[in-house]
Amino acid sequence: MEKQIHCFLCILILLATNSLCVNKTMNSEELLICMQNIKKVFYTDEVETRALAGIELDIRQGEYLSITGPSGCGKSTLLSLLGLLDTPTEGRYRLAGSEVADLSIADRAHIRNKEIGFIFQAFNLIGDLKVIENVELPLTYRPGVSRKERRDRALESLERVGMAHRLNHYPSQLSGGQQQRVAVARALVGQPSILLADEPTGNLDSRNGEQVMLLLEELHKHGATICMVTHDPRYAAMAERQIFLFDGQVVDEEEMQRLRDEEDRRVRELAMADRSA
Amino acid sequence: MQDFRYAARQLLRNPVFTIAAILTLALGIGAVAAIFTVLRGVVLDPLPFPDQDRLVRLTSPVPGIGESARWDLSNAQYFHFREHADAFDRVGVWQITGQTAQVSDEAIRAISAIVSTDMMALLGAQAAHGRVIGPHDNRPDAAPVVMLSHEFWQREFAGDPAVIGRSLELEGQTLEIIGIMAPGVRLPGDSGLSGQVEQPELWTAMRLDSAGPFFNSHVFLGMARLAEGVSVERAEDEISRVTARLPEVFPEVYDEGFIDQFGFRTQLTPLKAFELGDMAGHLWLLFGAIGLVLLIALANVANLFLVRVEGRHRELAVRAAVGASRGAIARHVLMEAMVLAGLGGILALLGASLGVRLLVANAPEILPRMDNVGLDAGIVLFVVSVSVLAGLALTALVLARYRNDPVADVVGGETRSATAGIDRQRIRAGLVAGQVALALVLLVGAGLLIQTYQKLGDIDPGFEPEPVIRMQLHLPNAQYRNHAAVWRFHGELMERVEALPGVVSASVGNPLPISGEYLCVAQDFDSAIPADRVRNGDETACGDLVVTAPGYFETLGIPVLAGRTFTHSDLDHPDTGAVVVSETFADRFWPGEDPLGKGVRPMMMPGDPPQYYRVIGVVGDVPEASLEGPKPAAIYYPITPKPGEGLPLNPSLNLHLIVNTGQAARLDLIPAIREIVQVLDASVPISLVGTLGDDVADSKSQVSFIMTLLAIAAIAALLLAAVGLYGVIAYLVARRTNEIGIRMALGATPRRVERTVVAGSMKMVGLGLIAGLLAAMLLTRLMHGMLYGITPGDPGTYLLAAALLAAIGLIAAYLPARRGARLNPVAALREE
Repeated sequence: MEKQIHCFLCILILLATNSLCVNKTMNSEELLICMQNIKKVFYTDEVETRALAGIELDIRQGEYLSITGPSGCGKSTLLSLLGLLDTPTEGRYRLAGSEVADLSIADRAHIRNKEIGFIFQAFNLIGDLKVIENVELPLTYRPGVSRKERRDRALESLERVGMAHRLNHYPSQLSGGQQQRVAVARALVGQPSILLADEPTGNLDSRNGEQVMLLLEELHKHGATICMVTHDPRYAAMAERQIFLFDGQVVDEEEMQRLRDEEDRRVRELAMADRSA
Repeated sequence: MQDFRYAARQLLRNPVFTIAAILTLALGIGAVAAIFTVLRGVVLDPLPFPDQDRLVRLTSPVPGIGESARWDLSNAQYFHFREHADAFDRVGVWQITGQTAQVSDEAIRAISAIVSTDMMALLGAQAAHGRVIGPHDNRPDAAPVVMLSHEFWQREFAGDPAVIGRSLELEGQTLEIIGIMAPGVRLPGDSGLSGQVEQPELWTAMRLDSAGPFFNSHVFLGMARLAEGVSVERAEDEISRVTARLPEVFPEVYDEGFIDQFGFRTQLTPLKAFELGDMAGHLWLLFGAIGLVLLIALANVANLFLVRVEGRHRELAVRAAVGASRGAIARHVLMEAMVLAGLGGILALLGASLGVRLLVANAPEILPRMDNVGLDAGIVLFVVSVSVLAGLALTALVLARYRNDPVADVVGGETRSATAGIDRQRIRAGLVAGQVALALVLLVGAGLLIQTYQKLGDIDPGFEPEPVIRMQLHLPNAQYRNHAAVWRFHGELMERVEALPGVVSASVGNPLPISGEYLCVAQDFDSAIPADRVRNGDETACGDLVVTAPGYFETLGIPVLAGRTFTHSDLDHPDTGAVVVSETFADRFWPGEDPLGKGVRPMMMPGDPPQYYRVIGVVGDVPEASLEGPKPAAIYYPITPKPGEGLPLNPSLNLHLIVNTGQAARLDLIPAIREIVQVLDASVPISLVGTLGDDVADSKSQVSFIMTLLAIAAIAALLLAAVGLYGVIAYLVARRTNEIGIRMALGATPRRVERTVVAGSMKMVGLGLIAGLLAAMLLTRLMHGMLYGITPGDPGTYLLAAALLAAIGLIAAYLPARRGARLNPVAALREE
């Protein structure tokens, strides 16, 4: 009997939380991502690490969002969940109107291929493949795309990022900035709903980093939805909206500043106590 | 020394790699060393005769009698060559026979060599005690003398040196014991006939008279030593001219018509080639096959070694960065490779020692010179050389991979790409493809031989060997001087043996099927047609002569196709002249005719006037020397010839007693049979006791021996290739973890990841299969002489072997691919 009541409550909660996203979607038809109470816990050698502790996050179509926060605050974990590379321990996640939190590995792969474009800090191009082949790669996992269409779309994508002249080069023959441009082209080729960029300038010098950021801005102007994780406050500020993460939770800017100040103070006190000792 | 310590420490830190590499090297080098030991002992080592490279065997091919008819020498040829062949330094002839010796009042069957002048010098014979047979002992009027073999002397006279000067009774004749042969002195072998020649226990002097009489009876085995500086070809030219003069010098023995009609000539064959026959080629083939296993093992270790060095590329780069020269780094690598190869070599020696013992114990009897096979310093040197070469090859491969500055490998773009460099992948893919190719060659070779063996097993031998016991009886000439006496003894023996419980039938005869001892004797016919065909050269006159008694065909299970077989009456009344022929004989000489009642007799048979035997029956064919070999055109004469005539055989005939014991050979009856012989005549020794089933198995033993070793090599190759393939693919998957993460991030499903990894791996396998098929097509041609019922290019075998390897490649690729597909993409993306 107790079990039945528990299940009934579960259903009610499920309907309630689901209706929130539905309502939001109804309120704004541009809502692309809706995350509710997302939690992620890692268990390693009997140690429990709470990477995300109840994230609430909406991303509208065409929005340019940056996620910032100190190291270990859960930025990359959140991006992995957003990109369906990982599943939340708890919580609801709707992407483009579909529930995606509990999908099978294969279904998540299909959605990832269709809806998400990744840009990584380390570029993550495949060394054995030429530039054009790297860019074509997401389309090779999409059924019904002909070889010609793949090639055409990859060329178009490379032209958008200004790398069409290097299509027969291998990644190792390109500079870091060029490799990241190719990575952007690869992220764009499948015409995804959202681009997820994980520290896209992290491995670049400032000049190349700025060029990549300008490229993302350009893409956004043409309607791309972008969610970027970055350490750099200058680049974070280039986004329309900034999300601050601290200890696995979304906080507002003021709270973030307060928490940072508090942490700085603690560090100073500890240092002083250490010196006096 | 510091490099050695460092290498040893590095290897100890990675015990799994070290043990795997050492065991793989030990397997490859040990197998090669074991086969090389056999190859060296049997093929490469010189024969134990002085100036052995100048020794030749002398035979007389007579293609007009039969394609493979190869006679030995006549006494006329012997004296003719001694007198007129300048190409020869020395010429010798010998006969080997079983003789009955009386030792301590007991009749012993001893193998006896009767040797001519010069044989002692040709063999390099030395006496351990007393003296060797000298030229004066070979004079026709010389007192009969005998030398004892060392083993016979030890066995029968307990090594008593006082035996010198005593007398020994041999076949009723008294001979003086003049010496004990030094251990190891032997006669040349003859692999072409019935396997290893039985080595003599007694040596007696052949007392031929150069004044004659001479006979066209080719019963002397001959050899010669070429004069200094004379080649075999030059000697053969001269001997051809000398042979052509035989009718001129010995008109009573040879006429020109005979030489022209039958193509009679004298052939010289280097002694070692004669003794080894096909076996040399087969052993080289086996050595090549095992060499392929070594290459596969080396490829495996090279892959492991590359992986290991790559795992240390940062360390090597740091060394380079702090000033280590390329030479110093090469030394590190070389030392590690040498330690591995050295330890592998030591283990290989132990393995080879065990392998050689197993090979010697299981080698077929027809494999000559196995007593010369053993490990020694030469083999140790061989193993050391192969190990050093293996170490150098491994080092060269690693250095080729790191031909660029190692610092650049680390500081350069390696961190930017998600997979191993193209160069490295090509080296590994090449090694894997090479392994697959070599394994396929071995699999095809083994497959062809296995099918040959199966097809040999499917051959209907034409008789029923399984239930037949056989033993050879040696009736002393002195007591059994005529055929009637021989028949009386055997008739009585057959009757008593048949009365034993469990015996279905018994008979005697010589030769037996599959013995390889059929004697080709030219036949003469009463009707014009076969005689004309022989005269016109359309057909040879050869009939394979068998002497038999009643019950021979029934005991052996040879089917009677027409007429009847011998009865006791035919032998009791030989004047009726009954003869039985085989199907092949009948088809050859009376095609389309009824052979029954036709007249035939051995050509040049002594006796006057010649009378023909009449064919009373036709029987099925039986194999001559091997199941797959030709069927003799057999003509079965009774052991009692027509009165006033004599078959060209010794009356005592050394007949084989054959006993059919129903479903299977009842070996438990042998003591009872021996007792019957003993009771009938205690002076009759028995030899060659066994079963015809064993003879049939022995005829397949060479194929079975090579097949077994090749199958073992193929299985080892298959396992090594599978392990190598798995190891490389597992490593590549590990190296491609980041790439797999990227692919997953871009939307690749687990199944797609599996497919990608497997497809990439199968490309390597496919490349190897194509290369292997081409190599197999070339290399299996070398097996042509070993195959039966299947061609070297048999497509079924190739397809099956390729499919088997592809399946194994698929499994080896799938397992790591599945593991790759189960990677957590987030973790995979973090991998460098």
